[in-house]
Amino acid sequence: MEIQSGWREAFAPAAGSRIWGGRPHGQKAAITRKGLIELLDKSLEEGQVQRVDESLAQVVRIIVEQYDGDVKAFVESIRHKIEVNRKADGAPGHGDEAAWS
Amino acid sequence: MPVHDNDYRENFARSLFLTGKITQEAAYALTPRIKELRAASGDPITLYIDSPGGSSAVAEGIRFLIKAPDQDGRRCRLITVAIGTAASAAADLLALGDYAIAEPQADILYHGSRQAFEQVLTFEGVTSVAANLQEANERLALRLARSSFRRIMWRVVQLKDAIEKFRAGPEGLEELVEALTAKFTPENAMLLREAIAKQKSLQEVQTAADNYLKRRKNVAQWPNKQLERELVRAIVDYRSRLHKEDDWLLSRTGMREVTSDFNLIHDYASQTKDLDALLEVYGSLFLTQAQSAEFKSKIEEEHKPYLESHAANKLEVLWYFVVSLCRLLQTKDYQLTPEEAYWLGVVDEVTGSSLQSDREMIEMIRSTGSVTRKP
Repeated sequence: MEIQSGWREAFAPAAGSRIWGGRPHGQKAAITRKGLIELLDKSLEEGQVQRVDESLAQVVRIIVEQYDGDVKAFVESIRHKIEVNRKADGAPGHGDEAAWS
Repeated sequence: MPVHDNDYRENFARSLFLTGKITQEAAYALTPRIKELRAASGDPITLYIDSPGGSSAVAEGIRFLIKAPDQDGRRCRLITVAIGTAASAAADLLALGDYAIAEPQADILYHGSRQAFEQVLTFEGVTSVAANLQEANERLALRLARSSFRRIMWRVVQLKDAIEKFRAGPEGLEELVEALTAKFTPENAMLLREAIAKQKSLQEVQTAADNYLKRRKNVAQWPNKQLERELVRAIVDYRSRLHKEDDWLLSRTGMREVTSDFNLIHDYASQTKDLDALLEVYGSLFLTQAQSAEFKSKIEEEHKPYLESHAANKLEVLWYFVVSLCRLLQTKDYQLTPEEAYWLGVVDEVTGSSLQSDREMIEMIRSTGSVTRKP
């Protein structure tokens, strides 16, 4: 990505490598939350490569290709189509308050 | 017929309840059920949450247990549902769900890490605790930012006029955030305004460091030791320039500012790797109409470079804003309604509301089979 200059790529990832935090080498800290910090580091490392959600990627493609990036138009249009289909099937809709009374 | 996608739906048959304080005992009680559900299938597990919080380490342990790969390397998707209170460590756990749902009566509370003591503290002890709490806060904020970012991208593209200005250029961020504040109580809206101020300062120091290091050769090959040393120099230069009219000295408040900037850059600016993947998927939502038309006319191989030059800068400022927001969430108490949690990217869906969700969009496409063209 253009916005990442080389040095940032080379920089050690924050997870697990934050070495300036305050404890001088060899000096045992009186009270630590080492367990939590290590866990969080592990969690960050694990999340380094986020999985791409293919279903959402497909939604984005449709919105961009067919709705000019207009998310609201996409949602309204499909909601409308679903409502029409639902009525055609004779099923109660979201806003069918009678079903709750 | 409506199609349900189980990756985005709660499932009582494969669920766990995390109620009350998050303690080691609570984790012990959940473990057999987690293992049982994992052994039964790789389908998503739903975690219902009604908890005032507790140990972040234990909460993280529970999450690991649910999501850890099995012997075949399969991971399990975690659906989190706030059914009552989700405070502190429980709020973090809620947000870290692969899909996070809040019920309308849910109450979501954020605050920084805390630690109780039963022993007498020495100066060294207090200093060490302060450093560790700060470090834990930073980690929690970073983790929250990474899970919220994808959600916030979906939120801002719904802000009709403001998103058009942002699509025109990253300087539209302020207006975009101002439009977002309309969704919040005045108190929580302040959080967003503070975040935008923080975002600016983070962006400035980042740019200063970038410019300083660009003038050096082979930076990418430098060992970390050298890189960190030069980064400190870059920050000292930047701060000195910023305070050139002031009586500013490192020996007074200067060193603290430098340390804070250094930590910020190290923790957050180096965490832009995610943006690569996100740019490919969501970048096209951040193009102007003209750019979008140009983008669509290109062959697939040209899409990535196009997004890098036309959308990456917008995603980057948005990332810095989200980071700033999540850091602020760790500083004092913030009570969020489910709708506010939705607009902050803490949850994906608020049940019973008309707020659009990933689930709705995905199921819509499946239900309709083909997609209606824009009228």
